[in-house]
Formats: sequence, C-alpha cells, structure tokens
Amino acid sequence: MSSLRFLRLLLRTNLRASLALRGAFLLQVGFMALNNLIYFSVWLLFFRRFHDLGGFGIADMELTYGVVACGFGLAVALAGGLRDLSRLIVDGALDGYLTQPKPVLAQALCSRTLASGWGDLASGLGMVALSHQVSVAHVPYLLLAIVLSGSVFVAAAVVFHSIAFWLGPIDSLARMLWEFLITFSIYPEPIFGGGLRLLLFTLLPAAFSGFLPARLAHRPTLLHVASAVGGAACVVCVALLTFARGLRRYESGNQIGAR
Amino acid sequence: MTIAVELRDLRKSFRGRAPSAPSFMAAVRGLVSAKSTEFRAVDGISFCIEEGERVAFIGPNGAGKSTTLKILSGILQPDSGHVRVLGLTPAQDRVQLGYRIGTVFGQRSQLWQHLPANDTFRLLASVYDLPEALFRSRLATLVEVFALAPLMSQPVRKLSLGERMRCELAASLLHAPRLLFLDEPTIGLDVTAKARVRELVREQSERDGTSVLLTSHDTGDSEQVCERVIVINHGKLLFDQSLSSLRARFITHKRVTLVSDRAKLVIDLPGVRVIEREPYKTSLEVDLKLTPVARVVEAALAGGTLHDLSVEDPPLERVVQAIYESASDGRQHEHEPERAAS
Amino acid sequence: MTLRKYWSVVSIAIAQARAARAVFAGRLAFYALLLVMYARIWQMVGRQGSLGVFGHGDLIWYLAITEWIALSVPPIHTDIEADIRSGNVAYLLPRPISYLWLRFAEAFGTLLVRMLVLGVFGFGLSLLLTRAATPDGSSIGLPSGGVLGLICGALTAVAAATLNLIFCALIGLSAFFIEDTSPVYWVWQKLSFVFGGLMFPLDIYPDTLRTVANATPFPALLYAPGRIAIGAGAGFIGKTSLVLAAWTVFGVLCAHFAFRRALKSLEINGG
Repeated sequence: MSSLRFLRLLLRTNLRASLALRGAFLLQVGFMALNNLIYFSVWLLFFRRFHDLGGFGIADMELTYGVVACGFGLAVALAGGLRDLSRLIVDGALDGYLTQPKPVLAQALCSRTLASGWGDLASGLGMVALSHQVSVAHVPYLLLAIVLSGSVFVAAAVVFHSIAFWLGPIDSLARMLWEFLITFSIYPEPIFGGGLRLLLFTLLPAAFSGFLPARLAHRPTLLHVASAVGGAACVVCVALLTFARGLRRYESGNQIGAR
Repeated sequence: MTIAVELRDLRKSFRGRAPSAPSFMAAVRGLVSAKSTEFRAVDGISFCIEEGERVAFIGPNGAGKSTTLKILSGILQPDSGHVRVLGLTPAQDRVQLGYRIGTVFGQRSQLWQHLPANDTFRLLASVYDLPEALFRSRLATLVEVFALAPLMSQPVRKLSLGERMRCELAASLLHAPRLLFLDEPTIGLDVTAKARVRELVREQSERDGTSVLLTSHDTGDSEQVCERVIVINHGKLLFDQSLSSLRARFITHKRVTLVSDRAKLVIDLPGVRVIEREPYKTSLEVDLKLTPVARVVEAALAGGTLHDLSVEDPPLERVVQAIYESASDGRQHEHEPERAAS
Repeated sequence: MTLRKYWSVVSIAIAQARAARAVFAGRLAFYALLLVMYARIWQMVGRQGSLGVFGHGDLIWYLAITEWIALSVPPIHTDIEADIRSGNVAYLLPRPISYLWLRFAEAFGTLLVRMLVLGVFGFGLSLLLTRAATPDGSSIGLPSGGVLGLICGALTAVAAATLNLIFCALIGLSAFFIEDTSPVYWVWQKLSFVFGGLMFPLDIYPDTLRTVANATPFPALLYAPGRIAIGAGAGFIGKTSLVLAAWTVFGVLCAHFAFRRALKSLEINGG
C-alpha cells in the first residue's frame, strides 16, 4: 500500500535528518545510555541490599527496565512528534498535513525524532542481556515485547495529547501523564495492588508498556502473548479513535481558542 | 472555460468561548458550562474562479480570509453553502483534493531544515504517489526554471530566505497541482527576491494554466501576480473585480511630482495639497474630484519651464483601506453578532 | 542598593511561580505518586524483615526530604542555555545588574515557592503514610529525629537546594563552550541520585561506594538533609553545614570564573 511505502520513506528521512548533525546525535545517544545505566545502578544497590520485593528480584528488574527502555527509545526515536503533539494541535500546525493526501497522525508523529531514543534502545538491550532472562530461542518474543511496549507508549501519548482537541493548551497535563506512565512502567510490579493496579490496566496503561511485555519476553506462554498483544491492540485502537474524533472536531473549527 | 473554484453563499460560524487564561480548571469549567458565543467568520460569500486565473484575496486580519481558504482546501467544514474546488467537495473529498492542490505558507516551511531540499522533494514524490520517472522529469524542469541547481546539495537551513522560498515554491508544484494557494509568499524577502518569486508564480500560471489564489498583506504581491482582486471584511465579500477596475473606481487622488526651473513653484488650485517641497522639486496630492490633473500641469507650465513631470496612483494599500472604510460606513448595526476575541 | 534590586527580582519570580498553577499541580501529583510507591516498597521490605538499621517510617521520611529537594530545583540550566543560544544574553549584559545574578535571583524565587508548597504537602502526606506504616498505628509517624530533626533537616534542605541550583547554573553556563547541555544535565542528575542517596541513605551503601560519594558534592545535596531529619547527631549537622558552605563557595567561584571566561570569548568572537 502506498501509505506504508510512504511511512517507510518518512521514517528514513526522519532518521537522516537526525543523523545530519552527527556530533549532536552521538552525544545524545551516548549520554542517554550512560544516564540510564547510572540511574539503574540505584536499583542494583537496592536489590543487592534488600534481595527482593515480593519475589521480584534484580533479574526481573533488569528485564523490565530493559524492555521498557527499548520500547520507549523506539517510540521517541521513530515517532518523536509525540512529545509536541498537543502544541501542534493548538497552534493549528496540523493544517499543513491536512492538505496532503497522506494520514495526518503518521506525519505529525514521524516528522520529528529524539536522538536520545537510540541511547535508550542501546542501554535497554544491554540490560536485557544482563538479566539472562531471555533465552536465544525467545529473542523473537523479546522483539515482539519491545514493539508492543513501544506501540503502547506512542498510543498513550497520542491519547494524552489529543485532549488538546477539546481542552486547548494542555501541554503540562500531557507531560505529567507521560511521566507517570514511564514511572509506573519501570517500578516493580508487586508494589501495585488493588485500585492502583486497575489504573495501570486502564487509564495509565503501564501494564501494557511494562510488565506484560516483560513477562512475555521471559516466558512466552499463549496467555502471556495473548494478553500482551490484546492489551496493546486495545490501547492503539483507543488512540486512533480518539485522534480521529479529535480531528473531526478540529475540522469543524469549534475548539477553544479557534485559530 | 472550466471553473476551478465555485462558492455560493458560503457560511461558517464559530461557536466558542473567548480564550481565557490558559488554565486547566477554566478549560474544564468551560466544557461544562452552557455559555457560548457565536462568531460569524464567513457570512454568505460567493464567487467563481476559472482555471488559469490568478486572484488576490485581500482582507484585514479577522476578515474571514483564512477561514474561507481553509474551507476551500478541505481543512475546515462549512456550515452551509455550495463549495466546489476542481470539481470536488473539499470537506468530503479532502484526500482526493490533496492530490490536486498545492500550498505555500510564507510563515511555515514544509522543507526539512537539516537536509538538502532534494530529500524533501523525494518525500513529497511519495506523498503524492509520483512514479519515479515522472518525479525525475518534473524535478529537472523545476530545477531549471527556478534555478535551484546550486542549492540542491546544501541543507535548507543554510540557504537564504529567498532561496528557501524558491525551493518551497518548487516543492508545492512538484505534483503539478491545478490550483495553488499562496499565503504570504514573499514575507521577509528583500526587494529582488520578492520580484523573483512573483515572476516565477506568474510565469508558472501562464505556462501550465495553474489557478492561483493568493493572500498577502503586501499589495505588491497582488499587483504583480494577479489580475483580479477579491476584498473581504467582516465575513462578507466587498469587492470582486479586476485590478484595473479597482483602481478606476477607488482612485480619487493622484500624486503629481513637478521639477521646474523655478526654485519654488506655487499651484493655487482647489484640492491641490503640497506633500513635499525641495528647491526646484514639488510633490502634490491632487483631489481628482476638484481638479483634473491636466489643469495642474497647465498651471505648472504657465509658471515656468517644466523639466520633469510624473503622475502616480496612490499605493494599493490606500485603495484597499478606502474600500474597507466605505463598506464599514455603509453598514447597519442592527444585528451586530457577538464576537469572540479573534 | 543592589540587594533591593535582586530582592525585587525574587519577588517577581515568586509571583510568576504562583501563576504557573498547572505545572505545579503536576509536580505535586508526581511527588505524591513517588511517596505512595515508596511507602509501599518500604512496607513490603519491612514485612520481609530485611530492613536493617532504619525503620520503614524513617525511610519514607528520608525519601520525602530527598525528593522534596530534587523536585524543587527549577531548570535554570535550560533558561541560561536558551539565553545563550538565542543571543539574548548579549542584550541582558549591559543592564546595571549582573546577568548571572539576575537569572539566579529569578530561579531562587521559583525555588522558594516550590519548596514551600511541596514542603507543606510532603509533610502532610508523609505523616499520613507513616501513620499507616506503623504496625500498631500508635506512633504519631514523625521521623526518628523528631520535630527538631525535621526542622533542621528542612533548613539544611533549603541550603542544599540552593547549592543544587548553583551547580545547575554552572551546567547552563557550559552552553558557552559545548553544543547541548541537556545530556550533561541528565548524567549530573542521575549521578546525584546515586551518590546523593536519593532512594535510601548512604549508610546502607557498600563502603567503597560511600567513600567515593563523600568525595563529591552529591551527599550534601540530597543525603545530608534527609539524614538529619531521621536523626543525626549535632556533629553531623555541624559537618554538613561546613561542607555545604565549602561547596557553595566553590560553586560560586566556578560560576564567576566561567562567566568571565565566557564573556571574554564573546568579545573576541563578536557573539
């Protein structure tokens, strides 16, 4: 389909643009990887001293953190526009994409990149390897897990930022929800009980960006695969529907602060 | 002649709240409360543009210009009225229309700044599904006509504003659109670059029969590119005629500059006002309703020998301003629509 | 009087910070989230019996202090970098008020407001959480240092946050010499989390790591105020004050010289 071919070229152009400033690119990648490793050492110290948290040990932490870092990294590297989406909406910058015969959301997301995402991906892979939780035979499941995690991050960001279609400039709200999602994704699963757990399967889908994909990579049973894939698919659908609805409202012009 | 754009009684209102302080609570409160204001942005506009025509679309900020253009390009849905662009209904056939129209925004770039323009062209070829051979031949033509060859290998951010605008223009024409929307295409450009861009647009339209719809606050753009002017204000169409009839109807004063052998030239006629006076050179503003230009020249010749004489129209800005004012004066305020801050 | 000039800038910043309510709410929510999650973590660890020398109530209070500091420091480095990149700094230089002190005074105002709001909020939430954490619910939930420890800890925290701000300003100034300061900031911040004992006190760290940490300014930035709150001797408080003062002098001197050097290079290069 021409849209897929276009998407591939768009991603390639995006990557080339980010590589155009070679020095800055390497700096961002290198330092982000370093940043993640230094941060993770706090957890290393924690688990060395306190052994485990309800059965969740250092290896589990390495795997979860690794998968999330990879998914997150991929998301911001390929769909870097997700960070500024609400601002694009409020500034009317979607207009340019609307006059072109290709999907608006794809263009809005994939016309920008965060080079640091590649650093996240590199450090994430390192951490997964360190965890020894993924056998060589299960590497395809690891890749699936990473793709699922990344998709959920992108989809969640789209939903958070699409609120701008109805409420106008909600940049700080979207950023807050985004930080919550990341935090919830990497913290050890056992600490979440009851109401909080329900939240992570619904409004803040950290279950689908964090523990379910990690579980899938470690032990790819049918249940784990189905729940991870199903969950991610739901979040993506919600995102597409929300954006489409929002875009219809944008086209009717009746939004707060009509441009 | 085929019709490129057809508008009949187009209407569009915005129901909104005046943008209050950007706070989350105010926004949520706004969602729940029933209070809303209505702002009539486009209030019954009708016009037709034939293929190959070049039309300037003029109006002050808040006039309904951008709203009309957004409706024409499919970005916004109208409330009522008949709209046809290149045989399609923009609101319903937005994607299909996208293949046939081109846009240039003076204040927003569609070129990727850190890459050479060539990369953007290649991406656009994919956007518009251009086959490789067709893309290559079209690009070659555009590169030649717009003199882009020395610019193609440099990152766009290293180009001057004029060079960048030429690339933008070429990018908008890559898929051979039948209709070109230009929004402030010469903003920020120096005099030479402006002239170049205007020339390129005009020639392009003449060569390929591309229709052009231009909005610009620089009336030089309108004068040098277009032959027809549509003036809109307060959502209504005020004037829709050729550029020459615009001048003829609204030109009430002319500027006459005289260079004579007399150090000081005095012309004492009704409606003649001195604008500038230098030794041997006088600039006058002549009210044509009171005194024809011929009488002024006669009086100058009677006073001494004339070495130079020039007669100029007032700038188009003044003319357009006169149109806005004459329309506002004639308005009746019986049903002033409530206005959200625009 | 120069001091009055700077104070007026601080008060403007305070007013500005009061206006940026939405971002504030986000910060409060994040702080609350972290406290709740860590309360859970320490509760679980406590139940497993591997806590060691500190009680889980103390560990919650400790984190409340360290996160209070970490979340209150405004991103002065991005402001300074933006001024340098945009060339704005050249316009601000001829003003009869030192550019660097101007920016610092603004950020300090924001810092004070944040610390006040987050402090009250954090204090209240910690009381609630520690009350819930004690098995018999009898203790009032204050840290082992008591009210006095808490007050000393809070005062030290303000000084520590100010020192943190000075270092951030230094990072911002590096924009004169390097392309992009964000990567430097990320690494600095994470180093402060590790060597400053963000999550738990340095006392629990392995010896070698603790020795390395003490050679850096990081423990003074996060660990020391938290440790004072959960009960440290007068000796520790005295030592901390000296260390904070020493690093502050160091930071201010570095900033002074870095700015001087940067101005010189500006003059040579013509901006």
